Amino acid sequence: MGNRGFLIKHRVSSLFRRVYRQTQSPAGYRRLDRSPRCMSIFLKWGARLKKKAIALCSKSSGLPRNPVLGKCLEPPRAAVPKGKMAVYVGQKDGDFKRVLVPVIYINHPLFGQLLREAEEEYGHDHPGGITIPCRFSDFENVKTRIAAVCGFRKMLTWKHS
Amino acid sequence: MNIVDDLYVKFMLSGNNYMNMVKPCWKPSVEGDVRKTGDQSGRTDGLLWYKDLGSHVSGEFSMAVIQANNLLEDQSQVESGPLSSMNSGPYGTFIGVYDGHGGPETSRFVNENLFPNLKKFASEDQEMSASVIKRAFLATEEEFLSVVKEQWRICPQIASVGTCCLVGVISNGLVYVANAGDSRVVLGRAERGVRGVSAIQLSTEHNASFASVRDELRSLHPDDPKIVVLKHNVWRVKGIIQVSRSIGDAYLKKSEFNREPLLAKFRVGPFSKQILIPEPSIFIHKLNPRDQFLIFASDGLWEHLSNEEAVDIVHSYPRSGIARRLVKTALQIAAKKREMRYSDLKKIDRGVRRHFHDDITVVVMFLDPPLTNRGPVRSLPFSIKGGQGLPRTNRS
Repeated sequence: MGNRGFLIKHRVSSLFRRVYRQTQSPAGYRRLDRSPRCMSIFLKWGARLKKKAIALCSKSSGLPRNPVLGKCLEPPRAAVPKGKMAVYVGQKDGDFKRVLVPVIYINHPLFGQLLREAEEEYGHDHPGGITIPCRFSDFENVKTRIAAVCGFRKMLTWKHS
Repeated sequence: MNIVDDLYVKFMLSGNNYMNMVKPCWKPSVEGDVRKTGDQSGRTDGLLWYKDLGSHVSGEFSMAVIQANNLLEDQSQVESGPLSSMNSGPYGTFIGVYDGHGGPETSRFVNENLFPNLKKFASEDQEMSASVIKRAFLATEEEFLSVVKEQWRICPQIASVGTCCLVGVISNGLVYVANAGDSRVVLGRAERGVRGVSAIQLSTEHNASFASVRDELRSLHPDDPKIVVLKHNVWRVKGIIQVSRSIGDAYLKKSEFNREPLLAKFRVGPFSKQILIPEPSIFIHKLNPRDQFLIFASDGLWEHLSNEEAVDIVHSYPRSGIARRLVKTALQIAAKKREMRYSDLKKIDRGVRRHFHDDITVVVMFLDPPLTNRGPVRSLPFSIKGGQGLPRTNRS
């Protein structure tokens, strides 16, 4: 962590020292370009601060960063939003489509059927994302049917409360 | 409002029930301090079971189990105290990790019967030895095969259930490791002059993914060209199973269980020599003062964590809850592999979970030097079984 962080204390104190020294200038004359130069230092410092902050945030975003393993546990590709997971749909020799599916759909019996097919084709210990061997249109069909059921349930709970 | 009134009346009428509901609030909270209260049977949280810290004869231990299968197929136990039925016999700690496959029956059977068998043979010999452990394995196998013979007519599927079997016995300054299958035990040893702990694997695994295991199978069955087959990019014995040694799996032990009405996918044709064997590989390790802990775990953990990573985690974090931390780290990696978040993985139901990770059992045994030179203090016998309280019946 050490080499990525920096001490704000040093930046702030050196900046103030600079400003203070310029106002206390013993020569008794004012530099004409003083205020714009001071501003530009301040702006530059701000920009650098922002850049570092963004870099820090993007590295540590997504909680699981394991200090022991020293590697980010979030995938480097486009992060999967909360509540969703990526599955790959397609048939052998064809190209696979990456689809984001709500995680709650996975527990649905209709999806269970797709998972059984995936297991028969690739086994449980298939590396990487879950790959479903079916036509994309069939997959979309199942997804819509589950979505309809989930939507209906949501409506029911709405009426109850 | 009506419901609330009803409840109120019910509480007023049945003071007893009310007391029962409130009582738990008065109990002291034991969260995070299991040591003081001696929470014997562990706790559950959804599909997770854990015992954050307990004591055994030669130190402390931590244990955790996560369920992925519809029925938990991993079983485990820690037994501390006398290792024979006599008081004068060997004394120490017994650790068992049983990773079942095809169902929970064999691993549950081994969890109940292997340790009593070990005690029986240790009493006969008046000592602990590799021979005692091996005889305990073989006796348990015989007992299970006789159960299969009894139930074959009613429930032929029992013939296709088996379990990997990893046993550790810590007694008299020695660690005996006996393994049949692909569970693993890793020793963490402090290195001289260097910070950190090195990982030393004590168990031998019997998984057809190792060339040595395939060679062993081919030499045992020279007249069978299909003894190991590559299927779905995975080496399998007879194209069916990855492990080459196990307890149970009667259909690959005796030809009489490899026929109808057993499912066609398990039938391999008649054979005279058993295809899988129950004999464990046994290794005896003399404990060194630099030996700090042992990590016993089913292959569910090791498919996500390397020996070094696991040892590093145990070395760098507090003891209490360390087994749970190993399980959590494995699940975070499993979630990453499946391109989802760990928080979302926890929402997946048992059964479906198997598509994301396997059942995982972790037992971490800390090897603390005895306080006195008189050897381990003879404390009360202690026994714990992993996964108590996790769902044990089929989903309706």
